Amino acid sequence: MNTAIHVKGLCKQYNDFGLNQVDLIVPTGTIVGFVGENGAGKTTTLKAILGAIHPDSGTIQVLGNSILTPAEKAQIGVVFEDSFFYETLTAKQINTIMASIQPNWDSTEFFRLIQGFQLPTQKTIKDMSKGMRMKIRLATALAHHPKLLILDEATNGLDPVVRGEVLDFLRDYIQNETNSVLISSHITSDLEKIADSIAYIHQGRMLFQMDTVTLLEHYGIVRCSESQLAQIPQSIKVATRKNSITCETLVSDAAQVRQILPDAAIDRASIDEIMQFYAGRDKL
Amino acid sequence: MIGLLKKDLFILWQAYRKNLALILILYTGFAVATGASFWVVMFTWVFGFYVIGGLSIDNYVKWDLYACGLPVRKNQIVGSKFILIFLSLLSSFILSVLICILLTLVQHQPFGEMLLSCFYTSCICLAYFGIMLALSYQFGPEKARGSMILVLLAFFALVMLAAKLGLLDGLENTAVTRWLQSSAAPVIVGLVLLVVCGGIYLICWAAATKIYSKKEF
Repeated sequence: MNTAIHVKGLCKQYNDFGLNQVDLIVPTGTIVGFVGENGAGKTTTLKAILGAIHPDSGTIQVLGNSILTPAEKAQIGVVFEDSFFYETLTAKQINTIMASIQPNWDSTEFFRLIQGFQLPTQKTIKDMSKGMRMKIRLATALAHHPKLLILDEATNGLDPVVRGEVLDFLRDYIQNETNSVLISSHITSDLEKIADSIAYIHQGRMLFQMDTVTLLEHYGIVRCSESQLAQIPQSIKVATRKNSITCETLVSDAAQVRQILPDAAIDRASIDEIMQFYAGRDKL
Repeated sequence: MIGLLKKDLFILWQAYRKNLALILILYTGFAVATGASFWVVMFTWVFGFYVIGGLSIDNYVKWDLYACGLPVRKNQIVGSKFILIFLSLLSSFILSVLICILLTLVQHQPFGEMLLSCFYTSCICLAYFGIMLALSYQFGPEKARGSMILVLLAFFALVMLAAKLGLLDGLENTAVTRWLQSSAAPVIVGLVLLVVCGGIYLICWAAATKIYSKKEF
C-alpha cells in the first residue's frame, strides 16, 4: 500500500517536552485521525512533517519524498487552527495572492468552494464567524487540488452543523482513493465517524495507530470485582479505575476478556474513554 | 515571490492607507508652510517602518508556520521583505522628489540640495531597515525596534558628549571637511553612501536568509 505520510522514529527534544520515537503512517486514500491531549505532541508532529521544525532524529516521508521542495508542497493543503492570512484580507484577495503562490491554483474551484460554503467574497476574514473562517481556510487549502490534506484542530469550536459539513466534505475528498487526510482533533466523536485509522499520541509517545473499526471492536471497558480483575492477563490491561464496589478496566482485547469472564459487564470503549484511561494511567 | 509581495501589499495598504494619506497631507503641508525640506525626508522613514510593521502582523497570525505548507522557499519569504523595503523606499523617494519639485516651484527652494537630502536619507534608511529586518528575524520585530532605537540614541549621545568634551574641535579645519565643502563632494558622498548602505543592505539580506533558514515555527 502506498503511503502519503510515513513518519518513523521521530524525536524532537525541547526543555520541558519532547517527541519520543514517534511513528505514524497515513496510507494513500485514507483519513487518519490524530488524537492526544493538549500538549501531547500532535501539532509538533505536524510541524515536523511540514518541515517547520528540525527533528533531532527519525525519518519523515511525505508523498514519497523526504525533503519537501516547493513542487511537493504544491500537492499539500494545510489548515492550522490559528495560523492563516491576516484578518483584513477578503476571499477575493486571498485568491489573487494564492494564484501567484500555488502553481496549481484553480480560481474557479476556489470560488466554487466559497460559493458551496456560502462564504462572502468581499467580506474581510475578521468580519466572518468562526465557522466561516474555518471554511475559508479549507477552501484555500483545497483550491489547488492537493493530494494530501493536513488539518490541525480544524473542527474545534465549530457548531455541529458546520462540523458535519466539513466531515462530509472530507469523506467526498478521499473518494477518488488518491487523496489522503491527516486530521488532528479533540472531537473524537467526529474522528470515529470519518477516520479509517486512529493514531494516539500521549506525552510525546505514539501509543498506537489502529484501524478505527478494529480499535473500537478490540478495546472495551470491563466492570468487575478485584478478584475477577486478577484473572485478566496483565498484557491486555491498559488501566484500571477502582472504587469501593467495582473496578473499571480498559482492556485492549475485549473478546479475550469475554472468554475469561463470561459474566463480567464489558462495554464498548469510545476513543474519548480510551484516551481518558491512558491519561489516567500516568496518575495512578 | 510575487504572491508574497501581493500579500504584504494588500495587508499594509489595508492597515496603513489612512495613515499614509494623513502624513502625505500633513508633511507636505508642514514642508510648504515652514519651507523645511526635513518633512519631505520623513516619508522615507515612515514607509520603512510600515513595512517592518508587517513583520509584527505576520507574527500575530503565525504566518511563517502557515507558509511552511505553501510552495515557497524560505529565502523567498525573506527576499520578499527585502524587496518590499527597497520598493517602499524607492516609492517614498519618488514621492519626496515630487514634493521637492513642488517646494521649488512654490517657495523657490534649492532643488538640488533637497534632492540630495532625500537621496542620502533613502540610502541611510536602506541600511537601517536592512539591519532592522535582520534583527527582526533574529529577535522578533518588537525587540529589534527597541534595540535599534537604543543603539541610535547611544550613538547620538556619544557624538554630543564628544562635542561637549571638545573632542570634535578643529574638525572643520581637516582636509576631509575642507573637501566636503567642495562642489563635487555631495555627489561623491552620495555615491559612497549608496555603495556602503547598499552593501550593508545586501549583507543583512544574506544574514536574514541564514537566520530564517535555521528558524523553527
